[in-house]
Amino acid sequence: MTDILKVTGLSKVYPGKVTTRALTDIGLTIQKGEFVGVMGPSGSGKTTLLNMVSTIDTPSSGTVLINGSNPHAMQKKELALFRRRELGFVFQDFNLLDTLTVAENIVLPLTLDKQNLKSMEAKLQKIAERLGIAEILNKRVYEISGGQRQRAAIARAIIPEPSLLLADEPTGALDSNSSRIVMQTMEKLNEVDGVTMMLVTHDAQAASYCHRVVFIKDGIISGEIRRGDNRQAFFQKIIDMLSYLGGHAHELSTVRV
Amino acid sequence: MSFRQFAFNNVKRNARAYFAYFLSSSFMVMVFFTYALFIFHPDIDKTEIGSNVQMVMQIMEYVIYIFAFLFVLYSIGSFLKARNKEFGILTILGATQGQLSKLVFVENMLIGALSIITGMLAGMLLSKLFLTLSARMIGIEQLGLYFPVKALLLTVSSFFLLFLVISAFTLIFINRNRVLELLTGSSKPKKEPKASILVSVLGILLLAAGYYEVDKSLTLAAVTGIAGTYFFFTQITVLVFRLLKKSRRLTWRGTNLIWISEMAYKIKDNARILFMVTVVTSICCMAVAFIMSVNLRNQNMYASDPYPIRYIMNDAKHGAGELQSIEQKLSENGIKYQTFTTESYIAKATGRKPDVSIMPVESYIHISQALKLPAAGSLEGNQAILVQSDKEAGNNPGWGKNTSVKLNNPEARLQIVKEIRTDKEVSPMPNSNLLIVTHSFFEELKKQIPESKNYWVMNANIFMIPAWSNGTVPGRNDQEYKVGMELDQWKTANLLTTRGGTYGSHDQSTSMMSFVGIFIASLLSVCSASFLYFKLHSELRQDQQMYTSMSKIGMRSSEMGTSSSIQIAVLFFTPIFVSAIQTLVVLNRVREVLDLDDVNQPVLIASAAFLIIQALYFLLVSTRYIQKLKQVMV
Repeated sequence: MTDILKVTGLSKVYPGKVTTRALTDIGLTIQKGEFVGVMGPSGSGKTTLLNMVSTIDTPSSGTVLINGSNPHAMQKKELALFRRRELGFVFQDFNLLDTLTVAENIVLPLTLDKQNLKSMEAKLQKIAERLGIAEILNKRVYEISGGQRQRAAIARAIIPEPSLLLADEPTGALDSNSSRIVMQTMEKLNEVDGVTMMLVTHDAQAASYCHRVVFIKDGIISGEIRRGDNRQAFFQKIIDMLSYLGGHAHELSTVRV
Repeated sequence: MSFRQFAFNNVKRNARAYFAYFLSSSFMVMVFFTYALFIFHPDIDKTEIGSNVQMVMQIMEYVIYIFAFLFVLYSIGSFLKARNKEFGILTILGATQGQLSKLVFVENMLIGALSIITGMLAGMLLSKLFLTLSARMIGIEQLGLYFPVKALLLTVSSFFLLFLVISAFTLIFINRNRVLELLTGSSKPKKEPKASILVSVLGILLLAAGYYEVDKSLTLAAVTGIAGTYFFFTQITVLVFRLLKKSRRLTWRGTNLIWISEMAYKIKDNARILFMVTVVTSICCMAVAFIMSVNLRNQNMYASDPYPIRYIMNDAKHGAGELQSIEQKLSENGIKYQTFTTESYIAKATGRKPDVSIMPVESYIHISQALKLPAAGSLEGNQAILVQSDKEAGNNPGWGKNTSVKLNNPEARLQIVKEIRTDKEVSPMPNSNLLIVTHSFFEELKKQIPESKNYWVMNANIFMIPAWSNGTVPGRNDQEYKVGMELDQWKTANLLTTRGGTYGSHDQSTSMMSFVGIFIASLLSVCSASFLYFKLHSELRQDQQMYTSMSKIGMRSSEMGTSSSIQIAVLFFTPIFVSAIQTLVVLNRVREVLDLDDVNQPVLIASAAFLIIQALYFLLVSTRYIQKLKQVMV
C-alpha cells in the first residue's frame, strides 16, 4: 500500500501578542483507497490541519507529503497547479459559481488546464452519471437542491482525478436526507473508484461512513477508532468517543458556521 | 463617539472607495468655477470674441451642472448598494430608519462640502494660469486677475444645492427590507439576463434610423442614435455573449469559461454604465473631431486661395471711394501690391450644382499672368476653356474637354475645347467654376441679362501682395492676419474679402471652441473613468469571494489576472471603440453638409487620444483592482 498523505511532526503556532498553539506534533498517514474522518470540537485544530494538508496554510514545523511530494516547498505558481491536479476540494458552502451551469462548474478545473473538449465532455458524462446528476447538467446552480449542489461540487473535485479528496464539513449545510445521499455518494466513490478521501466533520452520522476516524482535541491527536462491518455500531462508538473526550454529544452534532 | 463622529469616521476609513468620486466631484467644481471666473470677468465683454466665449461658457455651465447632477446621483446610489450589509448590521443593532438616513445624509454632505472646498481652492490657485491661457488661446488681450466674488458665490451655492438635493433624494435608496435580506444571506442569486430578439432588432433599426436622419435633423438623429446605443448595450451585447456561450470549443478553454459567463451576467448590470460612458465619449469625440475638421478645412481654404484681397464690385457709386481707402490702408502699413480687375458674370448650367463664372478671355489674361497659369490660347465662336482645381473637378465630375455646356438664362450653348487644371481655386467669385469665352461672346451674353439681374455681372478688383505668400498659414502676429482682420471689420457697400481675415475669424472661433471643448472633454473623460471605477468597486467583495474559492481549487494568480483584466478591459474599451465608430460614421455623413474636407483623420486622431487616456485609466484601475484580488488568493 502506498501512502497518499503522510503528515509527520506537524505543528502550527500563530504568533502575536498571545501566541496560539493550534496544532502540536500531529502525525497522520492516509493510504491509497482509504476514507479517513477527522473529528473534534470547535477550536480543536481540525480546520487548521485541513488547511495545512490542502496547502492553503503553511506549517510552523513538520512536513506534509502528498503522493510523495512536499507541497510546502513549492512556489506559489506550482502550488496552484498542484492543488488543481493532486487535490480535490469539497466545501461546506459548495463554492459553486452562480454564473455557470452545473456542467460548466464541473469542467472548470479541466478548462483551466486547457484540456481537449472531447475528453472533457466524456469525463463529465461519466462522472455525472456516477453521481446521479446527469439530468441537471444544464441547470443553473440556484435552480437545484442543496444535495445536488454538493454532488456537483464533488464531481468538480474528482474530475481531474486527484490523489486525495478533501472534504470540509460537506454535510454542514444540508438536511439529513441530503446528507445521507451525499455521504452514500462519497462512500460509493471510495469503494468503487478507490478515491482516497479525508473528511473533516462535526457530524457523527457523516463520520460513520469512514473507515476510521481520528479525533483531535486542543491541537493534539487524542484517539482513533476503526470501523467494523456495522456502520450503526461504528456510529455509536463515535458518539461514545466524543463523550469520552469531554464534549457533550449533542453539542458536537451542531452545524459549524 | 457621537453620531457625527461616526459618520466622519465612515468617510475617513472608506477614503479609498470615496477617492475617485471625491476627485471627480472636485474636478467638476473646479471646472465649473473656472468657467464662472471667465463669465463674470469685468473685462470680458469688451471684445466681440470675448462675449461670444462668455455665451458658449454659459451654456457649458448648464451642461456641466446637469452632468454633475447625474454623476453624483449615480455614484451615491452605487455606494449605498455596496454598503447594504453595513446598513443591515446597523439595523439589527437597532438603528432606526431615521438614524440611517441621517447617517447617509451627513456622510454625503461631508464629501460634498470637501469637494466644493477642494475644487474651489484648486480653481483659485489655477485662476491666473487659466485666465492667461484662455486669453492666449482665444486671441484676446490679457485678462487681469480679480477677486471673483460672484463666481465663488455661484459655485458654492449651486453645488451646495446639488449635494443637498441629491443627499435627500438618495434616502429613497435605502430600503430596510432588502438590507435585512442581504444581511441574512437569503437573497436569491441573480437570474441570467435575457435578451429579446425583437428589442435587439428595434435597437438596430433605431441605430440605422439615426444614421439616416443625421444629415436631415440633428435632434432626431441624436435621439434615435442614443436610444439605439442604449438597446445595443442592454440587448445586443447580452445576445452576443449568449451566442459566445453556445460554443463549447471557445468557452471551455482556459479562463474563457469564467470571464465569458461572468461578463454575460454582468453585462446587463454594466449596460447602463457602458451606455452612459459611450454617449459621453461619443459626444466628446465628435466635438473634438469636428473642431479639428473645421480647423483643417480652414487651413485648406487658406492654402487654396490665391488672392490676398478681393474687392467685388457691383455698386460703382461707392466703389471708387472704397477702393481708395483699401489702397490707403495698405500703403499706410507699407505693403507693396499690384492690382488687376476681372469681369465676369454668374450663371447656372444644366446638370451642374455649383455656379459657373463666365469670363472674357481678356480678364483671364490678367489672372494667368498674376498666377503664372497657362495662357488661354485662341478661341472663337462659342468655344470655351474650363479652369478648375483638382478638388473642384473631383467634387463635380463630368466636365472636361469636348463637353457641351448648356447655360440657362440667358440661354446659350458652349463647347469646352480645353481644360486648365490648377492647384488653387482661381475663380474670383468664390465657389464657382470658371469658363473662359471670347470677348464678343461674353458681350453678347451680357446684353441678354435682364435689367433687374444686373448684379449678376461683377467686377473683381484683386490685390496681389507678394509679401503674403500662402505657403503656410499665418500666425496671429503676422501682417496678413492682422491687416486682414482689420479690413474684414469694415462695413463696405461692396463685397470685400481678405484671405487672412477669413482665416483669422475662423481660427479664432475654432480656438475658442477647442478651448471650451478641451475642458469639457477632460471633465467628462475623468468622470466616465470614475463611473467605471465605482462599478468595479461595488463588485469587489463579490469577486474576492469568488476568486478565493477558485484559488482553493487551484486557480493560479495569473489566471485570475487574465480573467479579471479581460473583464475590466471590456468595460473600459468597448465605449471607446463604439464611440470611434459612431463618430466616424456620423461625421462622414455630415461631411458634405457642413462643407468639411476630410473627417477621417481628425476622427482617428481624436479617438486615439481618448484611447490613450482611457488606457492610462485602465492600467491604473486594473492594477489596483487585481492587487486587491491577489490578496485573497491562497
